Amino acid sequence: MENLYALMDTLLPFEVFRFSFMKNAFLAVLLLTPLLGLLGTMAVNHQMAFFSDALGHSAITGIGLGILLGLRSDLMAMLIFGVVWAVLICLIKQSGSASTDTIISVFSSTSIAAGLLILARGGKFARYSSLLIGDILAVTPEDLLSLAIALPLGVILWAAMYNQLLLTSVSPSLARSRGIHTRLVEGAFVVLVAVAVMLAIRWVGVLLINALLILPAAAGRNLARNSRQHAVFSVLIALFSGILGLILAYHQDTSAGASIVLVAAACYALSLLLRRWRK
Amino acid sequence: MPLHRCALCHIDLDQVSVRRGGQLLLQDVSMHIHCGQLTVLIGQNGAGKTTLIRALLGEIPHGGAIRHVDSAGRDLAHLTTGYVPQHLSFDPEMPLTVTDFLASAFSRRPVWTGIRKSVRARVAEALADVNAAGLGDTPLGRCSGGELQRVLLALALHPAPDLLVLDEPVSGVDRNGLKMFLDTVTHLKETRHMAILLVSHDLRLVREYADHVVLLDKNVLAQGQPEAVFSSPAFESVFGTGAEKTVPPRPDVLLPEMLLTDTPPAHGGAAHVHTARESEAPQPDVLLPEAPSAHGDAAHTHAAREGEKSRPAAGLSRIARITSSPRSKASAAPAADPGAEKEADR
Ligand SMILES: Nc1ncnc2c1ncn2[C@@H]1O[C@H](COP(=O)(O)OP(=O)(O)OP(=O)(O)O)[C@@H](O)[C@H]1O
Ligand SMILES: [Mg+2]
Repeated sequence: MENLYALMDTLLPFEVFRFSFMKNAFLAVLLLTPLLGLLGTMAVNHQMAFFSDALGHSAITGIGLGILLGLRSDLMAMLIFGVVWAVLICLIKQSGSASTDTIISVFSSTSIAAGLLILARGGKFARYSSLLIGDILAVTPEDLLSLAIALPLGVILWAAMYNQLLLTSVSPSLARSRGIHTRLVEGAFVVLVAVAVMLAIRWVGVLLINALLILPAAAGRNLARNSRQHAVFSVLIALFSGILGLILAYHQDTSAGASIVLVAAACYALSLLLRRWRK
Repeated sequence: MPLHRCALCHIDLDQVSVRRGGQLLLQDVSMHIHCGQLTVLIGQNGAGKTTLIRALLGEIPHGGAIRHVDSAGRDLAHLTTGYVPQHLSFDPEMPLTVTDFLASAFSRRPVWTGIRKSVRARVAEALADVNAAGLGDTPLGRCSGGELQRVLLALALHPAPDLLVLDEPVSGVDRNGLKMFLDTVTHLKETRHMAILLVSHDLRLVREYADHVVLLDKNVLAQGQPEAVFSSPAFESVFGTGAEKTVPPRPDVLLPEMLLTDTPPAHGGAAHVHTARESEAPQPDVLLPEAPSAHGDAAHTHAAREGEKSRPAAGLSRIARITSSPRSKASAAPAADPGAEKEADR
């Protein structure tokens, strides 16, 4: 870790990165935003923006249940609950019993209510309010290590399922006729999104995590003409927003998550203008 | 026209029934889909045509048996099916080109990392085979109904299927476009080794192109040669009395009239075809509409655009294209000798 810090000092001799907490935050942004940007492309194309929003909310319940069950690690509790929750939504959606929007809305509000019920017992919710806003300056070297493992794993999984997921999003029926296990592929995708969201949520916060997943991909989509451009633009915009947002937050002494999302939103607005202008 | 080019195999449906949500959607459907023949499923909306296809594809559970057998009734191993679905449900704003779409099916390499040259070449060839060569860079969501249909056909033909299933690929496509499509399908039938099952509502074109017609309404009401089915009492009870008369017989019987009504001028083809049809079919409720608005989707919204763009002359160049693809070249040369062709198809 020390070597890495020394390397960063030579490569990025800026005042912003003087403190190691800023170095950690910077590395976390470098590791996390590309993965969210990539996954976001399909979340947007699959019309799952609302789904990932609900997934973020389920983190509250995850932590609540973790406390009830006496789990030591909040992250573990969120991961397990998030994955279970995602698979459940996916199963109900695939059984085709009601419209997706409605199902997700029901899940989302249920999980928030259940989480609040547990966390707010005895009026102690304030202790968990950081969960809502996130704190990217609290990233530890151990977190970075787990991120460094999660990122390549996530990208590999993503690469392995992408084509099948793409065909499924165009026509599940057609995909099945070509031997694709559409349910399995969709399930794997929501699990991957759930894991990425839960890893990021402590730093970005429940309120904003979805924006980080959706905004870069939505902006990239306005500029892209094909799948490759979509992925490239989305990752670049995610990285750009992450880094610029972090630096702005440092200078303005404000929430990093919020400024990252605002930069991404500005990118989105710009992409809309560019798209109009190009037509 | 030789119908049983390959008398070797067929798909054998034996008393297939489908039950969904306590409702019997299909009951004891028995039919054969022969290799080298165009089998057309007709029937009203909700008759169960798509349901039968989904059972055939193994998408929904069914009773009875579906087998792929050779002429002696022995089971053949794997049945490769190419499928063109009735409609797609994707976001038309998705940044996905036709090439991306086909490459994602042809190759395992994720298309966002780029597309290999060899895969690009295969995609281009597949598109050229169905007269869609210029569509590679078009976003999938901007394809017109007829273009989308050809792209889906290109996909369904790779890998080479034993059975090609085309579920009503007519939605949002004018008669001219459908004719072009059917010409392509007929050419495939004659040059490649496959059985073709088509769902269509355009009874006139069905009569012209089908080898075998199956009239479905939960079960098989009538099946056989087009003429036989169209003059059956069941046909009359489904499509109304006199419906048979509004559907002119095959062009080889009534060639001059067909040429007059079916060859539109180079410009404004769609409008012309429609007037021709209206004046010919005085009972519009008798002749089923070509593009039932219930399943418009992306394809349907482009109907008008397709009308503007349809190029009647393109049908010929397509045939030329198909015969010049390496695979069919091998079989096209000795076309006079069915035996040699079978060899080439292997
Ligand atoms: N999953 C399902 N559960 C219950 N009923 C269904 C289901 N899918 C289809 N049906 C019903 O089965 C019947 C046949 O539907 P199908 O889609 O096979 O008709 P079709 O012949 O393809 O009609 P069209 O010409 O409109 O395409 C319809 O009445 C439909 O409502
Ligand atoms: Mg149908």
